[in-house]
Amino acid sequence: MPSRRLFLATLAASASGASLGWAAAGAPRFLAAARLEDGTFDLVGLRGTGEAVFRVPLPARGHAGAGHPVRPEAVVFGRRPGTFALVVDCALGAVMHELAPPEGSVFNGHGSYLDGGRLLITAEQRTADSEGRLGIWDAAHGYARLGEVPTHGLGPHEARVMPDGVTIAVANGGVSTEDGREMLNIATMEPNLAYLTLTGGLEEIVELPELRQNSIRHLAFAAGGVTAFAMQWVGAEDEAPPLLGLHRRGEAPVLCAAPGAEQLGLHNYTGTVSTSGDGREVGITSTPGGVLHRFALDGSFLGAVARGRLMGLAPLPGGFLTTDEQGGLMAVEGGVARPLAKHPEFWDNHLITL
Amino acid sequence: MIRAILAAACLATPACADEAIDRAVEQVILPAVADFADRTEALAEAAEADCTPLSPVLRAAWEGAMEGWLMVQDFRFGPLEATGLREAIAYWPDTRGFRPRALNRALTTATGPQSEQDMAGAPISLRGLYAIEAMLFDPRFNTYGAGEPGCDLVRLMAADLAGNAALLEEEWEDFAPLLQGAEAGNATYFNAAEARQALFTGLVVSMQFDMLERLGLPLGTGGEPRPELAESRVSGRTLQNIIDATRGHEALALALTDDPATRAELAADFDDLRERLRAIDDPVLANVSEPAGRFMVDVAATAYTAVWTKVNRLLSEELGVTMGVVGFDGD
Repeated sequence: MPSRRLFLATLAASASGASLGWAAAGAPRFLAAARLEDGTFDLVGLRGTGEAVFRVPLPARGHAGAGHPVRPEAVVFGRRPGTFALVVDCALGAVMHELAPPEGSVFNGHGSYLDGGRLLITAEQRTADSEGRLGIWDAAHGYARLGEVPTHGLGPHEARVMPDGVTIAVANGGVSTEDGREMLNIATMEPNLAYLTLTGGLEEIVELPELRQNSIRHLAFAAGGVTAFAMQWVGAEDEAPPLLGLHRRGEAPVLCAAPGAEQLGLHNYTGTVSTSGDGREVGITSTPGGVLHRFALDGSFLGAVARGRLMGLAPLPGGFLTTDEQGGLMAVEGGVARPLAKHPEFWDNHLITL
Repeated sequence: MIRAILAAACLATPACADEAIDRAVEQVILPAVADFADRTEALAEAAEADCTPLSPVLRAAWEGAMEGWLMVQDFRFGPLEATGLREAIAYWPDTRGFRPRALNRALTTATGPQSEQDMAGAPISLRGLYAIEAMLFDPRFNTYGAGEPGCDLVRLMAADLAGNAALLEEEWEDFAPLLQGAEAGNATYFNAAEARQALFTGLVVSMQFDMLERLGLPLGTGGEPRPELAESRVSGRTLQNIIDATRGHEALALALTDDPATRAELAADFDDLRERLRAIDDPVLANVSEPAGRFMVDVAATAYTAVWTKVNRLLSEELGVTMGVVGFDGD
C-alpha cells in the first residue's frame, strides 16, 4: 500500500496527456469497468466497433463512473456503499487520486463532471439516515472537496448533469440502507426524481405516489427535454409494474411497460438506461432476464433483444451498444442485434459514454 | 486431448454444428416443450369439462401438467427467461405468502380476473401451476362448487397456463436455431461455447434449485425446520416433484455428453439418487421436524450434492465451459 501511495504522488505531479486529451488514451468513445477471470478488476476504453483501446488495472471492483470531458481522465466508483472513488489517468494507465467520502457518508456508485470538467459531483448518502447529498469536488485542482448540497431524497443513486450544463437530475432511490445494502424502509419509501442546481437549490421534484416501491435509480436524457428514469421494483414480488419513466419538465411522467408476460422478463430489475444514438429510442436492460427493452419517446414498446447477462447500455449511431457479463459487446440497430466483439472481461453494470 | 482440439477447430468454423447442443435441443428440449403444451392443453380441457376441485380427472390433469413442467424447467435461458414465462407458469417459492392473499382477494372481491386478458395482467401469484394447485388442493380454497367464482377462476387459470405453454413452444421454434446455429452474425450466442454454457448453467442451476429450495426450504436454516414451506404440500407431491425433477436433469445431462461411459455413470447416479429420495418415505417432508425424519432428508440432500458435484465436473470438462457468473448482485 505505501508503495502505491508513493506512485500516486509521483503521478499526480506529472498530469500526463493533458494536451492531447483522450487521443492520448487511444481515443476511446466509451469506458466500462469489469472483473477478470482471475478475480482482478480493470477499466477498459472502448471504441464503437467494440475494440478495446486501453486497459487499466483497478485495485477494487468498479461499478460506474464518468469520463472527464477534456482530459483522458475518468473517475470510477465502487459499488454501494462506496468508500472510495478512483481518478484514473487513462493515458498513463494508472490511478492518480483516490477520493474518500466525508466521514459519516458513503458514495452511491455514480457521479458526473460539469462546468467543462472543472467540477465533479458525486452521489452520496449519510450513513446515519440515508439522506442524499451531492458532493462537489474541484476537478481542476487535484480533486479537493469543495462542499455538498442536499439531493432532496434518500439513497440517491445516479446524478447527472442535464444537456443544459447546469441542471442536475438526481435519482433519489428512496431506500434507506444506513451503512449496508439491506433495505430498511420498503413499506414507507418515497423515491423521487429531483432537478436541482448547485446554486439555486431544488427546481422540481417528481414522485410516483401509486408506485412508491419503485426505486428510481438510473437516468438518461433524450431529445426534446425528456429525462428517462429507470426503476427497480422492491414491492410485492408477484407484481410487475412499469420500470421506465419518461419525464418532460413540468409535466406528469409517462410510465412505460412491455405488453403481457414480456414485462415479467425484466424480473423487476433494470440495471441501466440509455437513449439510442439518434435520440429516438430509450432502452433499459435487465441482467437477471438477459434482455433489452426498447421504447419510443411517446412511451410505446418497440421490442426486446435477448442476450444472457446483459449489462451496460450506451448510444451508438442508429441504436445502442451493449455490454454483458459474458464479455460481449453488441450493436443493436433498429432492433436488430449484431455481435461486435468478445473480451475476457465480465463487464460490470455500466457503459460510460465519453 | 483430441476432443479438446476438435472442439477448438469447431469453434473456429462458424457453420460447424455442435452435437451436444443438437442432441439437447432435438432429443430433449423440443419434445419436452411440446409435451408440456399438450399436457396443459389437456388440463384446460379438463377444467372446461369439470372445474370442481375434487374432480379426479381435473386433479390428474393438473398432476400431468406438473410432471410436464418438471421436464421443462431446466431450460432457464431463452424463452423461459427473457419473456418471463417461467414466472407466469411456475411462481414458487412464495415464502412471503403472496399467493394466498391474492387468491383471497380474487375470490372475495370483484377485483379478480374475469377474462383471459385480465389473467395476463394478473399478479404471477394468481397464475400458473401453483395457483391451480392451491385452488384444487388447498383446503382454504378448494371448497367451491360448479358455477361459483372459484370455478371460473380455475378455468381462466388453466386457459392462461395452456396459452403460456403454447407460447413457450412457439418461442422455442424461433429460439432453437439461435441456440444451434451459434455462428457469425448471431448476437444471442456469439459462439457455440456460449450456447453450451447456457445449457450447462441451466442444468446445474436447476439442480441447485432442488437442493436449496425444494429440499432446503423445509429443512430450514439454523436448525429450524420449516415443513410448511415445502413445495406442493397441499397436493402431497413434495417428494414426487423432486424425484420427477431429477428425470428432467438426467435427460438434459445425458444429452450433453456422447461419451458412453459418462452417460452410464450419470444414469446410474441419478437412479441411485432417486432411490435415496424414495427412501425418505415422507411425501410432503413433514417429518423434518423430527430428528429421524430430518436425518433421512439430510442423507438424500448429501447424496444430491454429490451428484450435482459430479455432473458439474464431468460436463464442465466435456463441454469446455464453467458455470460462469451466477449470484447476480446488481445495483
